Amino acid sequence: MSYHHSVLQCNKIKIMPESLAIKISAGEVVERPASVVKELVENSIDAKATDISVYIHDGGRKLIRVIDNGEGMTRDDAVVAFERHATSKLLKEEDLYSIHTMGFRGEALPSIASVSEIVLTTKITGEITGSMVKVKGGIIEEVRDAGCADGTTVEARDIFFNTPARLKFMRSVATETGHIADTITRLALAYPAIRFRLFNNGSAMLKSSVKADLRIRIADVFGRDFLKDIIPLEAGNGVLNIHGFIAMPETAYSTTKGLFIYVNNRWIRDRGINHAITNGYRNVLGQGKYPLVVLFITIAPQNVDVNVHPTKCEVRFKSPKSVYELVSRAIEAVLAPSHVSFLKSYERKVLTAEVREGAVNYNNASHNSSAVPLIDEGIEGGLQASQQGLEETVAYTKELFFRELEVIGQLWQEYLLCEREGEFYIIDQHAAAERSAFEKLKGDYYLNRRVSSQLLLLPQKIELSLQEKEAIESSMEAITDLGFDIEPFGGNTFIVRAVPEILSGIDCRGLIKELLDDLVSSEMSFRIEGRLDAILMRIACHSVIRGKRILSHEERKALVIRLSQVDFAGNCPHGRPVIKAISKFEIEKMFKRR
Amino acid sequence: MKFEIERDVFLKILQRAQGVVEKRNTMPILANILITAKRGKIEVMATDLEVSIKDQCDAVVAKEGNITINARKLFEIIKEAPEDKIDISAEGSGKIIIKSGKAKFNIVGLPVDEFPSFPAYDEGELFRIAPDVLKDMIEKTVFAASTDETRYNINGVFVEKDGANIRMVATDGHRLALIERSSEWPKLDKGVILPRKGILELKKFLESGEGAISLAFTVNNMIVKKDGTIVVIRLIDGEFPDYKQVIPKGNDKKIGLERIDLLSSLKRVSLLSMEKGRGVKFGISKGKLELSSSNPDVGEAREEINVDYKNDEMDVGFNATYMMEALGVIDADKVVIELKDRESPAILKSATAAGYLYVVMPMRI
Repeated sequence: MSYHHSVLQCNKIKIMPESLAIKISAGEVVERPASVVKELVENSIDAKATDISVYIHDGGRKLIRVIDNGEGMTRDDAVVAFERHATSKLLKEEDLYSIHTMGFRGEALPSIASVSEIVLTTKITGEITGSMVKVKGGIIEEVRDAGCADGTTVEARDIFFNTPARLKFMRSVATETGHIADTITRLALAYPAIRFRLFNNGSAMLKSSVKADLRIRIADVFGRDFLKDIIPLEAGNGVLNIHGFIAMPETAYSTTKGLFIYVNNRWIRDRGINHAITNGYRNVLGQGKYPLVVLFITIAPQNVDVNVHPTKCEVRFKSPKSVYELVSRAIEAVLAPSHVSFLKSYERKVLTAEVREGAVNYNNASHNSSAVPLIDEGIEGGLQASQQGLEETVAYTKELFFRELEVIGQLWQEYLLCEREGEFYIIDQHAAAERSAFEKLKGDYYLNRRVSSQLLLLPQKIELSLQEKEAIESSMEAITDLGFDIEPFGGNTFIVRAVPEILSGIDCRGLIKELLDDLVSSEMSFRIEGRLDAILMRIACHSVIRGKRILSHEERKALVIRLSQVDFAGNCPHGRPVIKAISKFEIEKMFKRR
Repeated sequence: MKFEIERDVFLKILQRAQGVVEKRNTMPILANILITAKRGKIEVMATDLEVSIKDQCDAVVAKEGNITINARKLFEIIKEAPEDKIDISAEGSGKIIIKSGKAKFNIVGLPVDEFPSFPAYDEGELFRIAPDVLKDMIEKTVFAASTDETRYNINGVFVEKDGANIRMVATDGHRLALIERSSEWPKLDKGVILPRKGILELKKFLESGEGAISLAFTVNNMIVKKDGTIVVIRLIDGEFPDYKQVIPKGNDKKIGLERIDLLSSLKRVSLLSMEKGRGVKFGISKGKLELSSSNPDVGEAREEINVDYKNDEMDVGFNATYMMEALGVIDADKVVIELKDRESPAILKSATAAGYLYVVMPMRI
């Protein structure tokens, strides 16, 4: 009986027909209309197009048309392109490890063709006639000559017409349109030299400039107003380089939608890098806030695996730690006081070109200096004499700046009004007091390098996942150094016997969980420092004046002077600005004098 | 609705209701109070859904009815009213008119049926208690209750009956205060947890002048009655930790000392502890306790006091605030600290009187 049974079972396994296999794999590549747009536009980019237009109807469900002015294809190529794993970009196995083109798996066109109705028209530059190929549900229906412009046009209609399950799970037109716009935005940022246009139901959603650079492209995409709030970023050591623009912390979102991360010019999602970015911003941006960052990571192809997922939006680095450190430190360095906008104009006048050069060296030095998690630029040992010189110069100019600020009054008992040299400044007194208290606390803490811990009368139990358990066991030492005392209690349960004194009164279990989550996702313990900062911020916030209060002239002056003594980036620890400048020009414009 | 009332009488009950009204205003109606005019009296009700208060006073009621009105605005208006007589009337449309002398206010109320109903209780269950004992027990425990909102089960004081004794316990996970008194007490089948806010409201009540106080417990609430005022406090629905388990036994290193000596010395020495830490080192040797603290930024402090101690020398750290808070409420000239080692819980209690126990965990400094 059982013998028969197993024979029967054996016979159940059959090789599935190619058409079904394609449809299944199409599901991986073509998740939604936006994936079709992505694949088609990437093909256009690979075909060296300099002008790409995308037309969509009904969130791409009805129609997606991508028109490029690229190289075009011969008729034979156009037909072969619809066969699975047909690619012009990857011919032998070694090529897989040095991928320089966008697409390479040879899955895109056949996958899209298997779930929609496609018409491809293409003409090679200089040829008289082009070709037209019509494919429906994966079957070639028609191939003929066609008159058309140079380049390739692909029109996909009725996506998912033959996969009702997928069709059912599509979101609203607005959602799908949003996804397509995101896709084009990501590509437009990566290829500023290419002109991108997106038309939704006939009207233009996005029109970018011709032959732009990244800065202009950012203005194209996010609006011209952003230009004054972004700071260029550049760092690296030749093997691993990053460049891009980061926004001042005022532009913050509560989701990661403002993070545009590219690895070798390919947009990706990476929790580790998101983390590195928020870590770089940790002193100027509150918890759960994300800045606007456009970041390009250039890394030798052999040090990164982009073939993790069919949609290619995830990568695996050979050394995630070095990427993390580079990103995090570069951002932190750029946000350091010498780059802050309200001081910028002032310092530009004071700092000499030589000192500016020094600033660059200083940044590099701190990248290479050591593998130890960075403590605080101010007390990191081993700074060379020239860099110390720079620090003094910066400190001097900052102090001078605040000393020269004349407090002219207080507004609504909450803001200080100041003036100096044709500029008008508004200081949020609570934010200012909080910021300076935070810096003081932080300084004390890192100077003492000593963590008192409070033993718990009621030890707290904490349940961990397997991953978290591994993380805690491997980083027990770091956790103990911070004043925690955590012991295994059988299975996945751990017992917290002591907490850093500074954390007492706050439920530490959530914090430990978050900490471990970070350890798991970023494979390093950078965030422990970030969390302590968060705790210090909380203390700072409670230790200073809150709400409305009339300050005497002496108090006002003292508060302003105190600001000069802290290393801060123009924001309170929660990420709100501390000081804002309004130029005479702006005020004169307000009154129509200009 | 229409009634006339004396300003000072009205002000007094409005003030009490004010304390209960929800400050954060999660529901707009909770910023209001409910006034009901009936048979020569008005009744004022306020609630934040955790603590509810019902008060009443005499008034000249011309027309019965009820209104809800913003508690703070009404209180401020009555406080500044020019005359002793206040006249309040309302139309069906929800417009409330307040008149005093030549001053007249038109206020918009909220619909009466939106106001939460007052928790039910049985008048017959109310039991007269000794206010002084209750007040003392609260004062000696509530400071140790947790303020961490995520640990709601220790955000209050645990109360239970043990034979003829009443016991109250509070803890924040670092220290624990326990008091036991023999006192008359209403029926209480099992231990209950009173929330901090309710406890503080109750304490205010106990402090406000003479008058008998009655208590009763229902499944979810504690009911307190004094004169015509009724306060209902919702109990915390949770499991209080097994406090008996954390009270150490066999702490053989006993230090006898003057309460005031230790308290004032701690106040001085902790001045130089770290910002939030307040960690103070206790260096104990025969007949001597040396308290010390240091802060690399500021400096260090040291003070020696004479104690009664005959055991081995040892060092242990404590959070000075935790020690001082307990020393502040113990009424005895002499206290005892009982220790085992530098990692185990210590006991602080009166050297003479039983009934109060304070357990505190050391700090690693």
